[in-house]
Amino acid sequence: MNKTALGMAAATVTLALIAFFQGGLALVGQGFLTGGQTLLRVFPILILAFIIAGLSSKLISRKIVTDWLGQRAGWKGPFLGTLLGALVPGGPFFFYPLMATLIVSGANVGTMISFVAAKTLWYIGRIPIEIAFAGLEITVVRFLITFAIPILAGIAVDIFLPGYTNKIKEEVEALQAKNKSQKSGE
Amino acid sequence: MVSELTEAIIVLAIMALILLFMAIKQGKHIEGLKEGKKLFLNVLPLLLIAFIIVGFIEILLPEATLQAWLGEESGWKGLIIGPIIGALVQGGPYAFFPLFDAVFRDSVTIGTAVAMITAWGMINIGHLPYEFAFLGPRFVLLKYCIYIALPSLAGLLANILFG
Repeated sequence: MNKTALGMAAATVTLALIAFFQGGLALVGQGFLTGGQTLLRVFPILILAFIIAGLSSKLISRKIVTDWLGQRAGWKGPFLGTLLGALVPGGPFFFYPLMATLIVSGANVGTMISFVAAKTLWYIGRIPIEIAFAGLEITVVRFLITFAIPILAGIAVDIFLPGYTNKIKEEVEALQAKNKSQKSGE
Repeated sequence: MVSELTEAIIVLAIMALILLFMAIKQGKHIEGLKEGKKLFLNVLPLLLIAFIIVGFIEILLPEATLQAWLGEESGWKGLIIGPIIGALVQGGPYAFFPLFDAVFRDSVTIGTAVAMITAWGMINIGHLPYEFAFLGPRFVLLKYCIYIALPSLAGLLANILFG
């Protein structure tokens, strides 16, 4: 989060400098003004988007996810993985560790391939902001076209690469052991 | 523009009401609204910077360049360049979508738009450090083998069906 803010601040300064050399302070001011106008225009949407994000994050818990996607999911894994991927809130710093936990606790790799695709394609918490800025048409077309991808990809992995689950599980466990020993060494 | 914005507000308000109803039934509405406020305040600084960046890009980037690279006349190139840009943009949805709206939305074909947004989500390079750290190289390899060409294909399909 901090690194992102820093990087973006650097980009802002660079752009402001470019604007300054192209058109002086007037152009710099115009940049701020254009940005501010866009922000004001979409402000009501942002408020709604965050209400939706907050409510959905409380309605679905980590426990529900682990219960549904673990060992017992079986052939239903890709379907459940897709469904929950679309519902589970949180950024990459949250869901990649969650996926590691799920793999260790017995989830299939196909389930995880479905989960990550749904999380990054269909996540419902992101749809408000997509509708707001890309428009309803693009959002709907994108949704229709990519609709089957998470489920199909997960099923394909489970069918064609059945041995992969164990190999990846071993790798994840090795990574977790390494992280643990690093932490205790500090 | 106004009508599209109104459309978006209506759809979102309905979503929010449904969730609010579900949350009230479980007694979680206060908690959920507080969480929303917390999220909003966390992202607010980032959001302000994002909109300033968007403002500058809008006034600095010549429309003609954009059209040539990503617009109607760019043809299939848009389906390759679009996803590359999408995969590179960092800062989460609150940075990406305002940028998309201000810079790309009016100049790109529906296919390029679909390809760019899909790539931004699915094969974003900002996810790689997390993927390597928590899931390991084998998973990363598997994921990218399956998903790397999908954004362009989705875009192509969008152009054929909805273009």
